[in-house]
Amino acid sequence: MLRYALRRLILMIPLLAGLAVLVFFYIFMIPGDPVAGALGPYATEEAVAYMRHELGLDRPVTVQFVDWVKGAIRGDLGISFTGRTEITPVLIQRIPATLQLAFGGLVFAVGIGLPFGFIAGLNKNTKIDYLFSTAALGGLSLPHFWVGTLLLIFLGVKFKILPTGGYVPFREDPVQSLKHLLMPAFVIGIDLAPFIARMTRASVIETMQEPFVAYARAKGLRKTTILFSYIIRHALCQVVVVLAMYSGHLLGGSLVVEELFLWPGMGRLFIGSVKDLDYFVIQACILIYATLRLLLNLVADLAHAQLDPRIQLK
Amino acid sequence: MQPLLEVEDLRAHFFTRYGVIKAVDGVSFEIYPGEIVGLAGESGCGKSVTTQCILRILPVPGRIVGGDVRLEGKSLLDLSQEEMREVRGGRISIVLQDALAALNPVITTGRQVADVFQAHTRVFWKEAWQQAVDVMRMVGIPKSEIRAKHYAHEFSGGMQQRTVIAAALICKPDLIIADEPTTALDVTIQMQILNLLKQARQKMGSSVLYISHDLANIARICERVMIMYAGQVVEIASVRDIYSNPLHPYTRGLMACIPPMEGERHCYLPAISGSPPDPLMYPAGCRFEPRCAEAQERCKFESPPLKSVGGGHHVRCF
Amino acid sequence: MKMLRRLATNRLAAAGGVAVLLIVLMAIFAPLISPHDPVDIHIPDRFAPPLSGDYVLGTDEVGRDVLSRIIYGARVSLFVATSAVAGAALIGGGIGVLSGYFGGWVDSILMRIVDVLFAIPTFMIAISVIGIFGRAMPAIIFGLTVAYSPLFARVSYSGAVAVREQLYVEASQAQGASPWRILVQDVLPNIFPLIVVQTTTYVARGILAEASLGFLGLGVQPPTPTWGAMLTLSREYFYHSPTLPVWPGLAILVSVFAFNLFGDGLRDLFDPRAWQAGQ
Repeated sequence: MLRYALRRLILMIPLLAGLAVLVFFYIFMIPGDPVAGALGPYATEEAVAYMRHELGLDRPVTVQFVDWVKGAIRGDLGISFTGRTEITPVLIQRIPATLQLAFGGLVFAVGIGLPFGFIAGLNKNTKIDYLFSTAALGGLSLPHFWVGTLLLIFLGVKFKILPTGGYVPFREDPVQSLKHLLMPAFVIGIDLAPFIARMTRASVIETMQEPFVAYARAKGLRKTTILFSYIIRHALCQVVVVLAMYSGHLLGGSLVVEELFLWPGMGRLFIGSVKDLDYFVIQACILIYATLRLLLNLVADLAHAQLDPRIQLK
Repeated sequence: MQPLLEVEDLRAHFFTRYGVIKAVDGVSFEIYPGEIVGLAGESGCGKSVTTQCILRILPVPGRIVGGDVRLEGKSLLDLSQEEMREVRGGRISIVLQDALAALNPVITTGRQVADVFQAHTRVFWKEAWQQAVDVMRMVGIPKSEIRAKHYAHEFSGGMQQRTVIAAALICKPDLIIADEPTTALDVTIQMQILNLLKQARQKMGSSVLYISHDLANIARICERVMIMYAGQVVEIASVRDIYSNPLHPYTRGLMACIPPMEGERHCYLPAISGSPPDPLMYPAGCRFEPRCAEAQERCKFESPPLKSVGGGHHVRCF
Repeated sequence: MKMLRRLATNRLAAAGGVAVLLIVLMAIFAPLISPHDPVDIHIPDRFAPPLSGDYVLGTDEVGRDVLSRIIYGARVSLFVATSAVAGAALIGGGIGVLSGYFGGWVDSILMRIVDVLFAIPTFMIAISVIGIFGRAMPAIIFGLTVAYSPLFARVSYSGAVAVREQLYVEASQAQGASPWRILVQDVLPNIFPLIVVQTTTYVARGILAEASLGFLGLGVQPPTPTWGAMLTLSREYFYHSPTLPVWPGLAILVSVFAFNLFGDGLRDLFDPRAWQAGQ
C-alpha cells in the first residue's frame, strides 16, 4: 500500500510541474501593466519602476520562475502584491479552516447522498426510486448558496439558533466550533450529495445485476447478509472512485460558502485577492487548491485500492 | 423407495414484451436419495430454468405457471420466502458453470463458503469459518486455512470451482444441482470435479443432479439420465438403456452424433438437421416433429405425453 | 428528423425540452413580457411586498420591480451560459479532436495542458480569468469557456482516438482520402452525440456558475439584473423585505432544473445503456 501511494505521488510530480508553470505564467497573461494598475493612475514612472524592482518583476523571466519555484518548495510563496506582507503565513493560518469546512461538507454529503443512493438503487424503478432520483436532480439544480442564504436568515438571524458566521478552531472550543461549522458544512453537503446519490444508485444497480448476487440468493443467504456484505460492499468500491471526480466540485463549492458565512479560509482569501487584484496571492491560492485537489484524488484512489482487493499494486 | 425430489409437469413462462416464452413446458422427473442423475439437452432447452424453478430463483419476467416441485413429499412452491431460503443452500444447493462470476470479488473465498453455513445454522463466526476451512480442504484446496483468506481472482479456475462446490457442500445438502460445472475447465480438472461430486454422494449421501450438454461426462458419473428438448423432458432412462436402446428420435440423433470409439469411423459426423423451435411459438404437436425422421401425421397435431415403457424408461413419443 | 420523433416519445426529454424552450422564449421576449423596466428606480416604492398593486413579486431596495428583473435576469444567465458552453465545445472539442486524431507531439503537449487544467477546480479557473480581464461580460464568458474546455477536450479526444483506431484498417484501403475529409466525415459525426449530451448539462452548470459569480460580486455588474447579484443584495435588505431572497434563487433552481431534465432526457436518447445503469 505504501509503495502504491509513493508511486502515485511520484506520478503526480510532472502534473505539479506543469501546474507550477501554468500558474506562474498567469501574471504574464494580464493585459496592460499590473504594477502600474496597482499603483493607480497618478503614480510616477519612477514609482512604478521602483515597485517593479521591489517585486522582482524586472528580472528575466526564467530567473523569476526558478526563484519562485525554489521559494515554493521551501515554503515561501513570496510577498503579497498589494499588501506587502508575506503570503505563506497567511496561507498557513487559513488552510485549516478550509480543510475543516471541506471535511465537514464531505461528511454531510456522504451522510445524505449515500443512503439516498442505496435506497434508490435497491428499489430500482419503483415509486421510491423515482422520487429519490427526481429529488437528486432537484438537488443538482439547487443553488446551494441560496439554501445557505435562507438558512442563514432563518436559523441565524431570525431565530438565532446558530451563529451566522465565523470560525472557531476545534481545539479551542469543540462545541462552539461545531456550532459554527454546522450550517456551512451542511450547505456544502447538499451541494455535493446529489452527485454522490446518483453515483451510488448507479453502482448499486450495476452490482445487483452481477451473477454473484443471484448466486448468493441461490445459496440461501439472508437478505441482510446479501445486502450488506455483498451488494453494499461491492458498490462502495465504485463510489469511492467517484469521490475523486467531485473533489474539484467540493473545493469550488466551498468558495461561495466561505464568502457567505464569513469563514476565514482560503476561499475568502482567494476571492478577496481577485477583487483586490493581488496577483501573487491569486497564484498562490490556485497552486494550493490544485495541489489539494490532486491530493484528494490520491486519497480517494488509495481508499479504492484498500476496498477493492482486485486492485493490484501494479 | 420414496423419491427425494419430484418435479411434476412443471411449467414456467417468461412474460416479455415480445411475447410469452415457454421456457419450461411440461417437465416431470424424480430423483431418489443417493443417486446421481443427469439432465442433458442443448443450450436453450430449459435446463437452467428448471433449476431456477426448483430453487425458486426465477428472474423477473419469469413465473411458474403450473405443475409442482416436491421435496420429500412436501411442495416447495407452497413454502414462504423464509422457509424457501432455508432450503436453498441447506437442503438443495447449486454449483454453477462460471465459478468466477459466482464469487464476489471483494470478499474472501473463505467468507463466502462460511456464509452459507452461518445462514443455515446458529453458530458463532469462528465455528463457521473453521467449518469452511475444513470443507475447502476436503474438496482439494491445499492449505485451505491460508487460502480461505484469499480472494476469488487469486485462485485458478479449478480452485474457484472447488470453492463453489465447497459452498454447496458445507451444509450437507440432500440434493446438489450441478449446472454445467465442468464446461469452462480443461479436461484433467473436469475429471477431478466429477470425482468430487461422486465423493459427495459417497460421504454424505447427497443426490446429484448433473446438468450438461456433454453426454460423455454424463455417462461417466450418472446412473440415470433425462433428455430435455424445447422445454420438455423427452426421455428418461438409465445410462445403460439410453446408450443401448435410445427410444426417442432426438436421443437417437444425439447418440449418433457421438463419434464411435471402435468400429468404422465415418467420413463426417452425422448431425440432426434443422434447429430447435422458436420458444415464442411452439407448435401444437410434438416439438421435435419438424426434424424427426420417423414423424407420422399424428405428430403434427398431437403432443405426445411422457409414458413409461418399463424398467424406469420413459419416453415422450408415439 | 427521426431524432425529433424519438425525442417526443421520451417523456423526460420532452418535458425538459418544453421547459427549456419556455425559459429561452422568456429571455428572448423579455421586453414584451416584463411588466416594468428592470432598471427603473422608484425610491418611494421600495421594499414593496409581493402582490402589492402593480408589483407582482414586490420591489427591491431601490424600488425596481422584482418580476421584471427576474425575467431580464434570464437573459444574462442564458446568454453567458450558452456562449460559454458553445465556446468550450468548439475550442475544447476542437483541441480534443485534433489532438486525438493526429496524435504525435501535438497530442502530448495539448493533453498535458488539459490534464493540468483539470487539476484546478473549474470555478477557480473562471474566477482567475475574471481576475485577469476584469468583471465584464466577455471576460466572464471567456472565463467559463476556459473552465469548461478541458472536459470537452477530453470527451472529444477519447472519441477521436476511438474512431482513429477503427479507421486504421480502413485507412489503408481508403488511401487517397485526405485526413481532413476523414475527420469531417467520420470523426465528427461520431463525436457529435457525446458533445451534445454534455452541452445541456454544462449549460445548466453554466447558469449555476454565472449565478455564483454574481453572488460573489464577480459577475456582471449592476444595473444589469442578474439572479446571483439579486440574491446577494437581498441578504442585506432582508429585514426590510423578507421575500426578496426567495425569487432569484427559485429562478435559478427552475432554469437549471429544466436544463438538467432536458440533458438527462437527451442522454437517455443517445445512450440508453448509460441511463439504464442509472446515470
